[in-house]
Amino acid sequence: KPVSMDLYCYVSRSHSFTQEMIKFAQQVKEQTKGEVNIRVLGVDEITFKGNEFLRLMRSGAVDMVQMLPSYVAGDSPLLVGPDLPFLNSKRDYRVSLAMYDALGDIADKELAKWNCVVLSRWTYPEQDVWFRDPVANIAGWKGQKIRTYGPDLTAAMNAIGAAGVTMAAGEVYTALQRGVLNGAYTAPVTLLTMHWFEVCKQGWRVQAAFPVDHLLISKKKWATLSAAQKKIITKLAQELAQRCQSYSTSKLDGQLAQLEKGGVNIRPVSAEEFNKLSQMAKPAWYNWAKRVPHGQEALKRMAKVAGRKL
Amino acid sequence: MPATLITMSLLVLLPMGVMVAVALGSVGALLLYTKGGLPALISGVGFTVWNTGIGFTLSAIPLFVFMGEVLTRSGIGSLFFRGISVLLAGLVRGIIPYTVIIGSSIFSALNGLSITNVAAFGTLVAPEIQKTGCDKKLVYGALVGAGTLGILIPPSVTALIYCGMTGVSVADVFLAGLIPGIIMSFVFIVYVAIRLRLRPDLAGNEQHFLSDQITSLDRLKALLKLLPAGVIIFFTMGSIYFGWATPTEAGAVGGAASVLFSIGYQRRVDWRMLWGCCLSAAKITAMIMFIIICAQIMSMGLSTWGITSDLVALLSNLPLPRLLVMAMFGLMYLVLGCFVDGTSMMVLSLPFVFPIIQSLGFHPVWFGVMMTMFIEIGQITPPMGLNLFTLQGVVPQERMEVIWASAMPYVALLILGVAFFVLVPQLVLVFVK
Amino acid sequence: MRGGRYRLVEVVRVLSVGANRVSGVAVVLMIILIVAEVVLRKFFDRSTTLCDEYTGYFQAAVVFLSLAQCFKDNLHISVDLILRRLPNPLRRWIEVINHLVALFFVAMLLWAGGQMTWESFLFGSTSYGPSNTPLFIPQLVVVIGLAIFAIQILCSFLLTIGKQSEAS
Ligand code: NA
Ligand code: NA
Repeated sequence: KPVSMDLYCYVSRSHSFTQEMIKFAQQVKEQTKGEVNIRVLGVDEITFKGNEFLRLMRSGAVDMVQMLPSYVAGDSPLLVGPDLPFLNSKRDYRVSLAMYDALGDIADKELAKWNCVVLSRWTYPEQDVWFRDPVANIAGWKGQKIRTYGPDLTAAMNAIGAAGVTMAAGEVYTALQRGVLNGAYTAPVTLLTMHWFEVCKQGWRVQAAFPVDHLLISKKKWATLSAAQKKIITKLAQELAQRCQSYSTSKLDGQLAQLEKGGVNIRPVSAEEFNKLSQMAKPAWYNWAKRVPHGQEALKRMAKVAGRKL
Repeated sequence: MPATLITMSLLVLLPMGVMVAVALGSVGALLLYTKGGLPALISGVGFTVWNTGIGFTLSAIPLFVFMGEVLTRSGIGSLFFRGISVLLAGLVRGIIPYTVIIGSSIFSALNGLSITNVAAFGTLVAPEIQKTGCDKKLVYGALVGAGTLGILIPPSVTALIYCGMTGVSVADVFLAGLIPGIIMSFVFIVYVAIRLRLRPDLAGNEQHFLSDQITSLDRLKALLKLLPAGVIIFFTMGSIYFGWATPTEAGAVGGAASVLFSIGYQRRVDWRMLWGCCLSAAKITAMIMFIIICAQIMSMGLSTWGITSDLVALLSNLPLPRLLVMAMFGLMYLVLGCFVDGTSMMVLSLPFVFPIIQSLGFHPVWFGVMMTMFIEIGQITPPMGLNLFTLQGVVPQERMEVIWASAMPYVALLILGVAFFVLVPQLVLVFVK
Repeated sequence: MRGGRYRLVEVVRVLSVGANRVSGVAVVLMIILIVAEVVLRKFFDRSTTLCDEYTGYFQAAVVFLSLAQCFKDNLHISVDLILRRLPNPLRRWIEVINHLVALFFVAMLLWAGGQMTWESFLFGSTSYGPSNTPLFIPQLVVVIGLAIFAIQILCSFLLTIGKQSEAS
């Protein structure tokens, strides 16, 4: 008899990732000859937020989710490891993915605790820092109120000398416009979709992290599928990851050009500058490693992959 | 089909006198249960309650309510009233209704609710009606009618709820309410002027306002009495637009400023009064938020069944002109507003109406202002009108019918106002990008 | 029997009033926290970093700890235009049903809130923001508020059927 599953996304239905997942669901249905039916729901169609997805998986309220570690950091701080700012010194998205592979059994055990198995991973575009008023050098970051999310990013910004400020996304535009905030840490595409570029004059391409997105399936549900079904789903999930990854990477140049056209001066960040920022942000990583179970080991493994001395 | 039946059960629960919040929430819970069973219900409801409860935008509600309570109870509200009436004395006839309208408009820039206006000015005006013999209905109308500006002129609790539910920018909806608010205030003044031109006797005998010769010095002193209002408005709204605080935070800045001014005005720290304001703000917030939380449970139930999206698809595909759809909504709110209070009406309808409004291409900020005006109308239409009840509480000896009748002209003026802003939306969106 | 009922009423009254007072304190804390954040940010280029998070927790305390007192003061809005015009025995019966619906619903909220809080405790969930606050603590406040609310409704329900049986 056919298996039906719900897949929750933490972005809205119109988002390209959600659209790709709808395509994925169709392919699964076709290739399994209707044996596996996946219903994809955007965050605007459910009243849960991305923060709750791991707990929903554990309780069995949903069978598949799109999961972003920084959203579920309250439940599982270990998973944000590869997203720690300025840790990926190669400044390459593939290294962020490799850091997950390096976590290996540590991450697998953590996910199993939440009744989850990873089907595939891809990354978001680079995270950069955008300023309302131009900042000339790293010394100029001092005292800048920068919108952040999550404990580790806020700690890193404070360590650098800026002031990490948390604020609901809906209030950020006005806050930047009126000077309540001096900047924001986010991807170029977010600046475009949220219209924050209208109130930011400068972008520092720090490429501090490439947040890794996950497609997860319930461990229990996964065990009930046949070997053939598993094979089809795994293959299609890999293809999905490639499509989503190419959204993140191939569109970046166009987005940066659009931002420049919109009046944002994009400032490259040299390797030296990156290393300096990275050096300053270090205490935040150590803090994370201390706080998180198996954190020391995890940080060691990630740093090795990233070519970063601790 | 079962989902539609469950949703229709609201039509039984509400008239039965079940708490509005409980009725909305029960319907939502039933929808969730029938679709996903117990686990979906329990985890869904738990997270909805929590997420709505801690929502940052809505946390401004207790702050703005607290601010209004402090200003009313400390007597700063009555300070405006006396200041304005001295300024008007000898210049126009009909000092009381004019003072009420101007005073309510200014006080509206200091608090987020309409009933605060009615309560603050009602208590002051009731004895004056006796003394002057001014027409009761004229004054009652001004009290309840201009009182509604409390939610149109920023800050506005209604706008906060609207934005909390739709994700529209609070600063934009606040700012968008300003010009309609000033226009409506002006319209109310013109209405009173016309009434008094036609029936000068309605003003009564205002001799006692003039009995002590009012000198220029008195007028200057009166002007000074308006100063605290100006300063608090400056701190609250200014803190948003000068970039010190977000709109939510501005509520706390305004609350703190009001406390300081009440201490300055009373020349002592009135702990009992301030504590009373805290308790009262907490209760009003609980009442409003309980409805919002339960409405979120309902809207979650509706969306899991796909009722919302079906309805949107149905209505936005009808070959009707958008203005006709808008007019239908207006009529719906006019009727609904007679029986249901504003907050319930908004949270009950937004899950259906907002997606339709968006799909028809209306500006969400503009619709926030229209929604506010529909609620203003509902506040003064009998039988269920919060402003009417509040005034009744202030003048308990008055027959309800008199208060109802006094509100009717303002209902008409507000309907005209809505029609005007539907046709000229640019006026609402002047400051909005 | 009589004495027992009055003792229950008194206990519930104390609970509701006490919870409302705590919620009044939460209003004060909210104002202090936000003003501190605004001043820090404006004049010292620093942030408390926990302002939006804790404002939310205080807001939850304000709301849930005042629900019971609101019910007691008859502040929760209902559309009672028809109810008020009904003849007495019929009206009482409908009031009994209304109480049952409310009790059932609030009990469900309590269950849902309780389960969420228990899981937060069990999984060691912390807040999403920078403070790393264990989530079960603020969530427990919600559960306590809902519990007092449920007891308050139960008490009012018992009084209503009491009146009902005296009338018949
Ligand atoms: Na107002
Ligand atoms: Na009404």
